Amino acid sequence: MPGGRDQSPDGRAHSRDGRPPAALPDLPATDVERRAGGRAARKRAGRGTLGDWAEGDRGHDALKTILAQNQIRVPELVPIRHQRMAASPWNYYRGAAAVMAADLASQPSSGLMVQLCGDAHVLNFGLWATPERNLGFDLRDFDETLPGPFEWDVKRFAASLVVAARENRLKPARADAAVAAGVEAYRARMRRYTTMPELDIWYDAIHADRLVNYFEPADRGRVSIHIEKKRARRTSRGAFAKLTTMANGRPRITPDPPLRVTLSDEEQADLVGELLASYRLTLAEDRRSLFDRFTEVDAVRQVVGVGSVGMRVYLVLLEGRTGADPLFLQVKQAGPSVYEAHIQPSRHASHGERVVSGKRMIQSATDIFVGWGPLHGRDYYVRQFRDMKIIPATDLIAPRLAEFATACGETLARAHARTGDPVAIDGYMGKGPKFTAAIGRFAHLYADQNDRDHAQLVSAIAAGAVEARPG
Amino acid sequence: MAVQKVQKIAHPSIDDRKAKGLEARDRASLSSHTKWAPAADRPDPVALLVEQDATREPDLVPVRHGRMAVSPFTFYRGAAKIMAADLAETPVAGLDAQLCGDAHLSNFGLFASPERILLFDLNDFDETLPGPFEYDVKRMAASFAIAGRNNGFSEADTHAATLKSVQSYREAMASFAQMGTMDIWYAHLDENELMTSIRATVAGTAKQEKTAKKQEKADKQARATKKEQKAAKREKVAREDEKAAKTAEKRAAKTAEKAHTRDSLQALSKLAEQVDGQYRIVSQPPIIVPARDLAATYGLSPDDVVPVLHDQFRAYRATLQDDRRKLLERFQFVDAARKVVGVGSVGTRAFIILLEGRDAQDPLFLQIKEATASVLEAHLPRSRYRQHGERVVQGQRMMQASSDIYLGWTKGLDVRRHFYWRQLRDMKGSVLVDSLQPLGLNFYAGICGWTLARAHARSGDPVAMAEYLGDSDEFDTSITDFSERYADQNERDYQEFVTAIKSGKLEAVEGV
Repeated sequence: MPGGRDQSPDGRAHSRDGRPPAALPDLPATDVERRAGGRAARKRAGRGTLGDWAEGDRGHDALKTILAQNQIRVPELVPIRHQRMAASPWNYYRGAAAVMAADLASQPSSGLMVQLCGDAHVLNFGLWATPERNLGFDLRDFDETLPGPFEWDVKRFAASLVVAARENRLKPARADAAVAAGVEAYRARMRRYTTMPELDIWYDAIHADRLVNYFEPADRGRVSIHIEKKRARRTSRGAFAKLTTMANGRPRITPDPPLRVTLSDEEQADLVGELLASYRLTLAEDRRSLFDRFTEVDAVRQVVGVGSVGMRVYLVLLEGRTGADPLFLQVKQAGPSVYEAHIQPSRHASHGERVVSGKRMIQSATDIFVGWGPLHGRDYYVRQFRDMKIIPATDLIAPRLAEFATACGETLARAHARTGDPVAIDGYMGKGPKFTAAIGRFAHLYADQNDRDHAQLVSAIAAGAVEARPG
Repeated sequence: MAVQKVQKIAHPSIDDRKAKGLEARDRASLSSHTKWAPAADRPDPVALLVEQDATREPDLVPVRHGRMAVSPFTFYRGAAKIMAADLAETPVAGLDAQLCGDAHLSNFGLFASPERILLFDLNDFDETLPGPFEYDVKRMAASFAIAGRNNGFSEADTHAATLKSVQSYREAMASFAQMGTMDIWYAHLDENELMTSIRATVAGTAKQEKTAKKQEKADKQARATKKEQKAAKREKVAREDEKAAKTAEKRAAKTAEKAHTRDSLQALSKLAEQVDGQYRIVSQPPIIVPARDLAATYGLSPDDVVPVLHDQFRAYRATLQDDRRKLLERFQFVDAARKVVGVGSVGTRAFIILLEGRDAQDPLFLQIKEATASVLEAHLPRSRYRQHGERVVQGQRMMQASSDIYLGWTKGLDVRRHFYWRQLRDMKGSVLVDSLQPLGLNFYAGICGWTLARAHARSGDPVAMAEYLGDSDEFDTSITDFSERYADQNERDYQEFVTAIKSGKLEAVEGV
């Protein structure tokens, strides 16, 4: 177990075991003690060793790890997952969080704990509308969230930059520059948090207009226009126009098998009667009363993403006022975090709750409709679908990977500072280039490993050992 | 498989909702809201106040009386219980919403949202309860009639501001009736929108001046002496209006600016002192009494006080959302004190606690206020919350566009006493009502009316309410008529109250 038992999820020296403390927290350590704690962590994992990657120590087979995840998935969707992951090393990387979790756990770690996103690859940063209708830039996928050592998120983020750069045929130097920019931004931002009051850290946020400023002046117009265009389209109303058709005077979500499959009346009744009924109770009272203003109209099973294909995902259409007041909620199955096998089980009884709680801990502002509920013995979480969510387009960010990586690095630091100890993490990373250089080295080595793992999946499909189907 | 019982929630069509609004006119016509005459068996207002004093801190009861005796307006602020009894006698349309219960104009203000934007909203929910929407509208409108008189405005100016608050409520409700459910929920009034709106009002006044000048030119050409004089007068009035508007704009900007500086660090410099390198809250009895001096009052030894506070703090934390609980764990307890606040609520238990984050320069003040039954509960169905602190917090979340992240609740050492918790000074700002000019009060009435309508539209049915309120100004003039009469009633009650103090029947300490 990395980290050791004396480390709590917030990175402090006193144990809280990840559970709400039975007593008031002890006096926070002084800055000097916190910094010393960070430096001592170098004994557990020297900064230079973060750059190492020993394939021989990984202790698992990548393909087996991927296949083991299929157990809780919808069997007929599993071949689609394989097909999508086999499309390219980048797609493989997005779907192979479990592989990387096992790999990260096989290496020495700092033990400086934060609430991990768990899947902080570069395309899991994006824009979405906050409860006060600002456009915020933040992490946006928390399926794997769990308390863990901070550098795991940094490593997954850094390696994703190299894999993405290769995918877009960028020169290796460009990938190096992007990793250096992203990790340096993380380090610099974390340093700033060491002197900030607790509430200022908590409230810190990156708004869309600030995101635009990360780009070169010549690109800012293009980025702004892209954001504005998407923002207008990616709403419940936009989705309503795109995804629904009228049948017998009622709007229905248009089926598009196997990507969108209409649920039978009985399945819909269970979804509403069991899952949404429990979900409703996980909302704060004011939001529950808001939810009650909507009626469920239709629901379909959806296929989304790469790695999560096969996990049950439902799209529910609700209607507020007759005709033009739609609300889409997405219901996503949540299994254990891929890190639970390597750290400790989540303290939450429901994996849906684990995801929602982690999301709130990490994001500077969270969707008002997040909640969770069970269905047929499986855990799910619920969120708004397309609430002005804007996922970066690879073709837009690839030419400006270093700039985008800077915004992501700062965002990741902010996320970690909320739950971890910025002083200890800063003390560990230090002033020199050592940390950044080590992460840069790892990112390349791991991108190579990812290429090999991808090739393994491709040949297994070619040999007929693993089934793949387009979808 | 355990299928949970689905709670059936009605989703009537727009037509049904409109019909419900129209039907409501049979129960209470728009003109039925006019007039006010005290019933023969109207409870004695002073007796109602004395009744409230029974459960309050005895040493603070005279402070409450003193604060209420300052003017008819401060009396009104403290007399929510009296008005609740009076409102119970007035006609209602039967359209319910979550009520603020005490929507007088000083209970609107600025505060920082969780996303660090300065918002204008209702900010006192001690009396919140579901009930007829008219109660809030009447309490708001009457507060404008009383404030206008208090400021020495002409009858016409006072009338205009009162009318404006109701008209703005009605028109805002009509626009919410057209909006999507989520759009209503997200609607808010932030600092930028507020300043833009103020500037537009100011610009409007400037335009009037220009028109007056143009008129003057035309008049000069006509060379009619009488006309010239008239035009000159018109110009003078317009110029004064513009000046007043500019002053109002400056004042509003200043209020917002001041609100930005009102944070825990500023509170620390005002409320705390350093002793042996540790901060502690300064004693300023009877307004601020630190925990170390309070032990005797509550029958605890000084050594017992701290564990009790820690127990309370722990119980409070359990009412927070997971991530905020985690955030609060980063703060440690430093000191606590009793701190008197407000007018009407003086004497109910109110405390502040000082917490410290990364170091002594990272303070956080929380306020703990006692919540008793809403004054409306004597006249409406009881709250569904057994815990009055929870009643206040849930009502606040239902009504505000965005709420303090630190709202929570606890039971006291005496479990019959309930408390709610919030941040003490999170950029809170309020308008100094007595310094407002007619133009300012009128503008303020407009934003209060809009805000109250938004708060009601979140929990009530905006379609039914808008349909009930209608397109004409009948509702506005009816409520304004009531408000003016109720302002008279308030003055009579105030006189009775002052007489009771003078005769020695009631004890009052003034200037505290």
